[in-house]
Amino acid sequence: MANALEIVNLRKNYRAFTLRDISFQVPEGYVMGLIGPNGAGKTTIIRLIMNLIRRDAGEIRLFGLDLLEHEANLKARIGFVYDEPCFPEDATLENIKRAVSRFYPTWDEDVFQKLARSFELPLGKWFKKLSHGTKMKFSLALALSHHADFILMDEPTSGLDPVFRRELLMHLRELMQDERRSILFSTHITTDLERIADFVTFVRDGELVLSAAREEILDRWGIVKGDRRLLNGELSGLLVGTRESPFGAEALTSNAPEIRRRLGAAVVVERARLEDIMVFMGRGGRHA
Amino acid sequence: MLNFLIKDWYSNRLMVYLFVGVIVLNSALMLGDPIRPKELIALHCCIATMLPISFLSREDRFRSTRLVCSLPLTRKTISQYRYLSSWAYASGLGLFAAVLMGASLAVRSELTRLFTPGVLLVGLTCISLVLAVFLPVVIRFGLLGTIIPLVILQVIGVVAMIVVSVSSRRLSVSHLILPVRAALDTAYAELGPAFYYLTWVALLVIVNLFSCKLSEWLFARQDC
Repeated sequence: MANALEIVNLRKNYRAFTLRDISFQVPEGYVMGLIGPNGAGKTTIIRLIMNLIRRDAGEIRLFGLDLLEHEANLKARIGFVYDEPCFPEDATLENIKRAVSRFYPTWDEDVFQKLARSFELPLGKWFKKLSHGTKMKFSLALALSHHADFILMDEPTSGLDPVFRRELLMHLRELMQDERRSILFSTHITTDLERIADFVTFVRDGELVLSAAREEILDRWGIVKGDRRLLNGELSGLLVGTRESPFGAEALTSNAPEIRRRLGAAVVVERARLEDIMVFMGRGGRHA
Repeated sequence: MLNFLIKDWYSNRLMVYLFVGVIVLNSALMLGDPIRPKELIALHCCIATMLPISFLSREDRFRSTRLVCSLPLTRKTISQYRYLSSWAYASGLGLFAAVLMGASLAVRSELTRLFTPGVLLVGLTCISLVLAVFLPVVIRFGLLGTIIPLVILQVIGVVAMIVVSVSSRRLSVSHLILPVRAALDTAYAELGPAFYYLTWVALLVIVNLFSCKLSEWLFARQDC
């Protein structure tokens, strides 16, 4: 399976934050979700992929080519959605589209017009007059109108109403049907990932916690509920973020089959959702 | 390059209209006065260079530097295109101002006063120097960069005033300008007009190339 994106030992140092040696791959034809708490480094990774910020170490390869060596050609193949749309505020959407579209040799005006109608974009309006949701929709329409092979989105669904979020995810799924495109997007909304992501990468405090196929994660990770003595005992090495309650304790495990094998009916092991993983890991747990 | 010019046009149309308005208004206000082509062209070319500089500071204000950096262009190409685009817009507006001045002179049957190498050279020099000084700092520091050269000039001015006030010799601006002017006159006499103008233009090109290289270096190290 060829990789659309390959990140190796990516590092970026800021005064108060360091993104440490991040490595993961997005296989061609798949969707990867990038999750993590606020300040985990998701936006930094995305900006590094777009070369908006300078990396201190590491390698980024897109379709097998080094991003820095083939920057212009590779960026023409990326559809990019910013976390905060950054277009001139006193320009109309039509004029912004005219300004941007000329840089993409594969720009498809029909696709843009279709998306503009579907997203109900007021093309004659000034950018600053739009709501955050409409700004995001416009940003999405631009990113999806030049037949990009790789779609990179930073929190694309933030500020969107649930109906449009669902429509957008369906649209992205349609895009994936030719099995050529790949998508990497960061989000806080884990239900979005559960709908379309094939792979999930979780970062926290600038470190990679896990990167694996979503099904593999959901199969292996679980919420263990049971007596607190059981969970605090010999199994503690397999558990993350144990939470005690008057009725017992619960914890996250990255090896649900092993817990089931060792404790059987003494504990309840439920399938963990991505949100559970984010919440438990966000509490300072380590990948066991 | 054309795409970059068009991007600047669609992103900053209101600014272009505003600057055209300023030039028209200024030209109209000066209609009643005797026209001094060199001074007027210097003033209008300085105003004209503020147009592309305003594009860059707006880019910083709207955080659209990120948009530009995400386009399929390298940082080096973006820096170079910014110079070319700045030159195109500044000289275009300067030319527009010259046409207005030409019309005023034509009414007075003095049009020939506009078509002298000296007037052209003054215009080119103003555009070159203002862009060469401002662009690297504006490309690197955005809106703040428009203020930095002005603050530096202010500081130089204050230092000069202090030097003058504590100096035992009487100094004035003319003490600084007159020797420069004398040196230029000597160069003109010794080199002859053609070679003098060529040398002048070559110096402007070198200054701008240096400024462009500096901008490339600064912009390559900038996080958007």
